[in-house]
Amino acid sequence: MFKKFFLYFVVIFIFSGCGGDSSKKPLIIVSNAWIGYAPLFYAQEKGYLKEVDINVISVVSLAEAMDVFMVGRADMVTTTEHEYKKIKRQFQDFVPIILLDRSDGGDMILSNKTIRELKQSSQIDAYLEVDSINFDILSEFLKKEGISKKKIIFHNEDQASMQSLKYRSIPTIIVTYVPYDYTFKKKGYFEVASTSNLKTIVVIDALCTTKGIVKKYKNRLLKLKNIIDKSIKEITVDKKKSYKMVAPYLDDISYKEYIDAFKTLKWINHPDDKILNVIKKLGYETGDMIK
Amino acid sequence: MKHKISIRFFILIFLLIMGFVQIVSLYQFYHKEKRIVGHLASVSVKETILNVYHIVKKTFQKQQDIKKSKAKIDNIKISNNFIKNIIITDDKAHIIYSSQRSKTKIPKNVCNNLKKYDKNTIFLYSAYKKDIELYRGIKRYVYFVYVVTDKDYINKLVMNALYETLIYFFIMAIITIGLFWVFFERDIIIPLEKLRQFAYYHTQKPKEFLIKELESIRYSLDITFDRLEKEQRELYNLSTKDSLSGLYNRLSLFDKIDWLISKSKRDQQKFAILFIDLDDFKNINDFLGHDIGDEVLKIIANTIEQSVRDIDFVARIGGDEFVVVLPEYDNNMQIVEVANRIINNISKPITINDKSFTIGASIGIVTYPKNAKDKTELIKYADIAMYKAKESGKNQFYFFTSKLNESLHEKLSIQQKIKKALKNNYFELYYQPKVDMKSQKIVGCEALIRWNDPVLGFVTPDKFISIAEENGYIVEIGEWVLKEAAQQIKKWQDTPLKNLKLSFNVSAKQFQDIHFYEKIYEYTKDIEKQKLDIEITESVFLDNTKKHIAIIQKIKKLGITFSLDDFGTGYSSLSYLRDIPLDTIKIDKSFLDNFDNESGKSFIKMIINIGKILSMEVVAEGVEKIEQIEFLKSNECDIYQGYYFSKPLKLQEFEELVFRQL
Repeated sequence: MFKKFFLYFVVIFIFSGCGGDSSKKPLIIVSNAWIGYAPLFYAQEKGYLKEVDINVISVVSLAEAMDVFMVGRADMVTTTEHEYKKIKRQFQDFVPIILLDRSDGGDMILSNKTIRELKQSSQIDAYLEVDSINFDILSEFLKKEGISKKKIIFHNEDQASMQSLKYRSIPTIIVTYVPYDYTFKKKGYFEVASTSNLKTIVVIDALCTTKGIVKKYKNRLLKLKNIIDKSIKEITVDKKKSYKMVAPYLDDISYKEYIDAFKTLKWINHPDDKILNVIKKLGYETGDMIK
Repeated sequence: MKHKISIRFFILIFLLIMGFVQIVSLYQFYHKEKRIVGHLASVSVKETILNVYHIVKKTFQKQQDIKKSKAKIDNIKISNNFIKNIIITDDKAHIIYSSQRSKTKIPKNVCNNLKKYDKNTIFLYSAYKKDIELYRGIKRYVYFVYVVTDKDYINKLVMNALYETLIYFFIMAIITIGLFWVFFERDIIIPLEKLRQFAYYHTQKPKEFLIKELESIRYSLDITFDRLEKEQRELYNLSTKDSLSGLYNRLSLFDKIDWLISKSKRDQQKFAILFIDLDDFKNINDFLGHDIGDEVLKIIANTIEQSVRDIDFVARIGGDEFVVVLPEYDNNMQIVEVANRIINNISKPITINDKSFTIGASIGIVTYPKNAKDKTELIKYADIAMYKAKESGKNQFYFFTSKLNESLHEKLSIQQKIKKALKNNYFELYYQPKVDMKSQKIVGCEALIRWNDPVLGFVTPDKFISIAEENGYIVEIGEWVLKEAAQQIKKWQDTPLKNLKLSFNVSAKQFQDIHFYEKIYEYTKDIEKQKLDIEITESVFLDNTKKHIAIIQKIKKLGITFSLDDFGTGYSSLSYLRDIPLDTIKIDKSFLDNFDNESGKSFIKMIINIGKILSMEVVAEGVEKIEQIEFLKSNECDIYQGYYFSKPLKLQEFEELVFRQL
């Protein structure tokens, strides 16, 4: 009897000792300033995420967020198609788990010149995060308007550092997104294209992670999905209240800008078949998605 | 040593001390870990402050420039787990950057002096502050960098290390203690307990032990106990068994009876004791020798064992005394069956060295709890019953009864009172006249002892003489009678009673007194010994006939005559009359009682004729009728005594009677 008990004890010890109780480990989501990620910031400020021991850190750009994830400083990351595919190349088990929004004007191209003037210009300075969806949007714009890439001088900067760009007289293009666009607009730049009129490009924002994390923290992720759903609902219902919480994450945009920003996206946290087909075509793996 | 502790307790104390040492070690480990983490964190925070300081110093021209550095500072914060937040404020305490995007407040409990900031202070302050001076032209701007440490993380690092160590420590400690305890319990405690039990009970011999020292003790104990057991068995046999017969001895018998009494008190089971004594076994020893006697005892012992049930208990407690205990019986018939079986089996002829003989046994039976309450009484009463069986004719059994006991007590009481009577002179001699048949004159008398006890009253001789003979008091009584008789003869010497012949009775036991002759000689030296007549019975000649005849002849030489009392009633043998120099024979009263018939008369005539032929005087006793006197006279009987003439009288009455005849 005692021998059996002792054997069980040793076995339990070995297994428990080797594995450790990692289900208690806090999970980190790395994100960046984008109105579509407001539910995450809201849930963070409301304390909903504490219930599932998840923390959100915010960086200045999608590329920064991607880097933080790829060096292992975060367990989940918010991505667009661009970052998703890039990470996927390195991490084969990288999958989207929760769809957040589809950009519907939230990603845009600003300029100090009209499209016509841009077409006529021999040289255009373009400010963007090259290694991001910014580049895809710009490429789509140039293709659509028939502007040659050869006359584009690319300036790779993150959205935060771009903020200090002054109004210029020489033809300039800024590829940006909400909420960074407001600073440029205040300086005199105006929108020449956005995801609302560039119909050929689809910008999906999703929370992604590795299959290992999904498998390991299935229950917590299911709860996270519920929290996100709840947060979207609460943000939608009471924008004023959510504004106070979320604004610091969005470069301290004004309330009006905040309200307007929601017009540039569509929530897809409950994706229909159409959206699912779209993202499948974009190359997303949907098997682990929490709908 | 007054205070003793068990090994378990000792080990427990040892483990507690070890545990205490471990806890102290753990406490030391905790502080060491805290210092290490504190050192790493302080270095890391200092680097962070310097990096942020550098970025701000090199890139800031105006507040808006913070946006250019935001990503860099974010990165610094993200890459450092010790940092919870990095805050930059202007000189008016407006936050211009916070790596935590949420509403942030300037932290309190801030350490301003980085030099003081080390591995110890990191646990005291929540944040570290450094001012940054910038100049635009000659205008001075001041910014402040706050690095907020992630105390939760730092503490968690320490606590995790401690926790994991603690978990491993406890688990390892428990496993170690468990293993140690299992080993200790299995190979030391249990073997020691087995050894203790083995040493105490000697019942279960433990199997071989793993520990060499314990095994050595076990082996030694085993060898020692084997030897002790052998010796014990031998000693037990010596102490509990009878060496001759192999039966249990008296000690074992008493143990058995004690045990049965205790058992009986619990389960009310009655039991019986059969006290067996071989009849006339002395003769076998005397005539065939002790070797044969011992052989007979062995055979009898075996016979008794064969005659009882397996559950019965047989012991030899004396020379020819055996006791059988019947631990269970339902009714007396079962006891009777066993007793009969024993008697019948013992009675079968025994052949030793081609000599065949038979022997009998008398059995006294007593039962518990009916007859007695303890072993001493049981054996005593069984013995009494056995003697009763012998008295009743031998080779039979007798159940002890309360009546038997009462008579025994009476006997014992009389024994004690005889002693007192002798001391206080409660005895008295009565004198019954002996009358000459022809002259009808008193020619003598028989001195008869009477006991006039102040408590018992008048005790007749038949109630105490036999008891006195059994316990030997008869020797003292006889001596007293001799002394009294001799003195009376002397008193009568110079009186008209000087011609009377005084008879007194002497018991066979008195002949066994080695000083008997000397006493006779001493007490009669001053009297006319011809006036003294000693009456004896044939029992005197049953044992040591030659010796007793020699004593009689020696006494006769003094001039004292001898009468044979109760002639014809005992083991009468004409050889006695031929060999013993008797002077008188006395016809027993029983013959006179049968005077009425011819047969009775014939016997009286025959005795008188024998007396005449052998030239002896013939005295008739118990004469109560005139017809008896006439018959005796016609047949030439010399003297008679009896109630016809006079009952035994007190001295004075007797003397008066004699005087009246003169």
